Amino acid sequence: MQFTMYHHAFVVLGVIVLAFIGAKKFKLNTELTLFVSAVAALLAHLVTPMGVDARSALPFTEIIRHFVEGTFTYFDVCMTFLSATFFMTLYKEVGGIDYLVRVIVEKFYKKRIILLLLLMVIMMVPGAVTGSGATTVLTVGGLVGAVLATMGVKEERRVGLIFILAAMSAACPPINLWAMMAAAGANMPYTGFGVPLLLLTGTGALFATFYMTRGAKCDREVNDVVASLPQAPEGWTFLKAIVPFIVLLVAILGARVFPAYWPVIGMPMIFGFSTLGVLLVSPKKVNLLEVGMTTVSNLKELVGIMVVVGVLNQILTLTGARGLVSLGVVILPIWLLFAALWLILPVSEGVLQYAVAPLFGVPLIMLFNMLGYNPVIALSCWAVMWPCGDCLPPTAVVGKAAVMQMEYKGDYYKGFLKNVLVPVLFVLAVCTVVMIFNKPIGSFLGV
Amino acid sequence: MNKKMNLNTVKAIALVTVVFCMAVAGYLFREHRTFKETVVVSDYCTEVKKLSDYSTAIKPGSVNDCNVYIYDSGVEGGTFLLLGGSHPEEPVGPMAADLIAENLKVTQGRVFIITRANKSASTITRVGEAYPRFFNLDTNWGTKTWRFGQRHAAELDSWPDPEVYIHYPSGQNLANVDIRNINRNWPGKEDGLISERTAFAIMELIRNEGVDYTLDMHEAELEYSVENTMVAHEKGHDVASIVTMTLTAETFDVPISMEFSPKALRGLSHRDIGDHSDATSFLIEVAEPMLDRIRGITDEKLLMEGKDIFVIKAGEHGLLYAPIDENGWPIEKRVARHVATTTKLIETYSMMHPDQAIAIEGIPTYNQLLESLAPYYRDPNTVDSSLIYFD
Amino acid sequence: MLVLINGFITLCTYAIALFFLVCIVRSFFKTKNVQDALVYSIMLIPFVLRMLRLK
Repeated sequence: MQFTMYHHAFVVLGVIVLAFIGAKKFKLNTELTLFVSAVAALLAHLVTPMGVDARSALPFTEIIRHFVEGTFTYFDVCMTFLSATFFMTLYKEVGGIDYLVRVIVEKFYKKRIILLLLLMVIMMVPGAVTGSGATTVLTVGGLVGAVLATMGVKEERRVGLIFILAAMSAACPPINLWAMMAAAGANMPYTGFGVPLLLLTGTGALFATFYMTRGAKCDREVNDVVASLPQAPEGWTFLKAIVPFIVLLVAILGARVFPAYWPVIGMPMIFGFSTLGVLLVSPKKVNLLEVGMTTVSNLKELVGIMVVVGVLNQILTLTGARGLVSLGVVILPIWLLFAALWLILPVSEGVLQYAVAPLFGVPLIMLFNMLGYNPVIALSCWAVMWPCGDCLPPTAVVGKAAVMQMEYKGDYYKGFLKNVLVPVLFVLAVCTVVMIFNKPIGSFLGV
Repeated sequence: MNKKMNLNTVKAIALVTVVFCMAVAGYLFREHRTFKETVVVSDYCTEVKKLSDYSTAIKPGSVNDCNVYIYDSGVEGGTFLLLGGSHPEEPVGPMAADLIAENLKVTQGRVFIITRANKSASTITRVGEAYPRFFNLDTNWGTKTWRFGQRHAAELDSWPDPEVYIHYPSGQNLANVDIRNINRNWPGKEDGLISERTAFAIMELIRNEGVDYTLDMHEAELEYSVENTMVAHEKGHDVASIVTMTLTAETFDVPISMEFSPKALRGLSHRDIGDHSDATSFLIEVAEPMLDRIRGITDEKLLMEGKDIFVIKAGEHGLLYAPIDENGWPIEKRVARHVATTTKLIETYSMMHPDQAIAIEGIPTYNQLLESLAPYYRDPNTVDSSLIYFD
Repeated sequence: MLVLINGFITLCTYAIALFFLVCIVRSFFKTKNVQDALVYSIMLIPFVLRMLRLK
């Protein structure tokens, strides 16, 4: 039997799985486990026959280059995480969060439904304008979580709700990075996605909000609730408290309103300006380097995973293993794709993060196009399914961000993940149904 | 004490290892970024200008201040601009443009050639795609080497990206990284980021030199529907249909189709060059299996031979828009198709627009190039140094 | 003017990256956990090479 590239790629994938299991047995953290898996994959690639044809040489120096280059894959995402978290950590340190929580609870505590809808909108906005669920968690997750705590929502459900709303906010238009990246890769204009994405994410967000807060009653006295909250430092006013968020919104929306005249600020600097806003209005002074150290320490896992997953992705591509996985998905019969994408897409997101959008999205768009399906509706569904996987191992970026931000100490799987199962499955079910009926729904929506 | 020593030892080893890796990789990145590709222009090249000569949007000597190779016959006729290297992860563009520049003789009209339209994008490889840094062609005088790059201008030349790229002037929302993709930036923006300014400068060239028609050379993955085709602005539909029909009937084994440039998709050369100048804009695509996401091992061999059994398997399942067999899509075939399409375009356009006629000689035929590309790249050691340029 | 402003923003973005690089380096030296130290050392790589303008 001839040893082909299929066998080679299978061996590499097998070695990755074995290395992962082995590293976990040695109690390595997830970041190092993924790194060890990447190293093992590379070794398997060098040792295993690559198929009948000779391949190009791979010198040792190029191997190092690939490893180092892979660390850049999510560099911009890491910069966004760090600057967003720095901004919110600073805001928290100077008492801004404490002040805003007190204001929101004072005004809306007794109006449960309005309060929940307000919190839902607050959670949806950051991800909708940045495309990042982690940014949502890192900017407003703490604030919303604190208010939910005053409403008596249990801890697991609070963390779970923060995660789901963050996932929905990342998928919410106008910015959905998965749809944009897949559409860009397929040379499809990013138009017509607004309504389908809004309907899918709005449905998911509403269901999650009311499902996860079921049974929680706002039946305590407002004064008692406010008294139980941490005091904000003297000198805060409502105007001062919202200035950093106004700066944030202006910096983001300015480019939408004046695209020809607005400079390209980028997310790190947008949060940089918001940080300046905090420094200008804050009545309390803090040591910025200490806040930076806290930020890096809190984000070590998240940023570490993003850096290492980039390396793993590069090695998977170099060795052909990524191609094998992608091929495996697109040659599945369509009925099986309809039946299994609800599982394949979130799981793949858990492994490769945003890289899955061009990896699976582009061939799937081509396939659906070829079969005469509505690619806009289909891609909208996938682009809402993918972020549902942001709580899944090994990366679990947004899930871990939610756990970190909410300082949840319970078990990640039996506590947090178990609680988000129902709303996540609801969203996946809705997306699957819409995907199956993509043509009539597309006609109805006029996309 | 032992635990502290262990921790310090691990930290020391980690630091040394990381510094070593960064040094090695850093050297290779720098080598790639500063590598100079040799172009030996033909004896009939009349002038080589820089893109900065056409617009202050590009600073002289900056990374995207590319060479503009001018072949002016001195006889009245049309003006044609050939663009290669818009997407440096598509090697056929610069290879074909380079080959033409090294062999072209213009006997009527003028031809302008840019081999590296987005040079910045050729100085860096795409993260996560495991690309090789260079690709090589063996000739009888040595190895000719080109940089292999990425689709978007280098982050070292354009950072950060916006959260969403709003195309100027249409206002269309595009993926944020496409602000560095010259084939989403047309007609460019004078005060934009580097790719936008480069597109603007090339538009100024087109306007100031009175270019009659342009051809932008690309490659595409076989999973992509716009494949082995010529995309034409409505001003050039008649020309494009004759070019593609003739090539399909007389020359190519795999047909070349024709597509109308869609008005909904903004920023592409075939749409916005034609919309924002008097020039008629065309774009051609040929199959490149290296770009397919379902590809196997990623290396220079795949890039140059275009053979991949995973892509072939996808073809067996009817998932591709171009045929592929065990012979793959070798670089000779891809370059030959682009060169043949270029010469046929010039011939057909001149026939249908006699007042803008261009006559050329010296370009090898499709069959000659299928056999080998090597004889058609000149040996820099045997020519006068005034004919040698670097991109 | 817009080109100048964009250039200034690029410089500020490099400054932000440098700030976080300093924090990562300090964290690397401060941490008493071996695995964390290894992770910080890997995290350093893209920041250092971007500051040196190599990638």
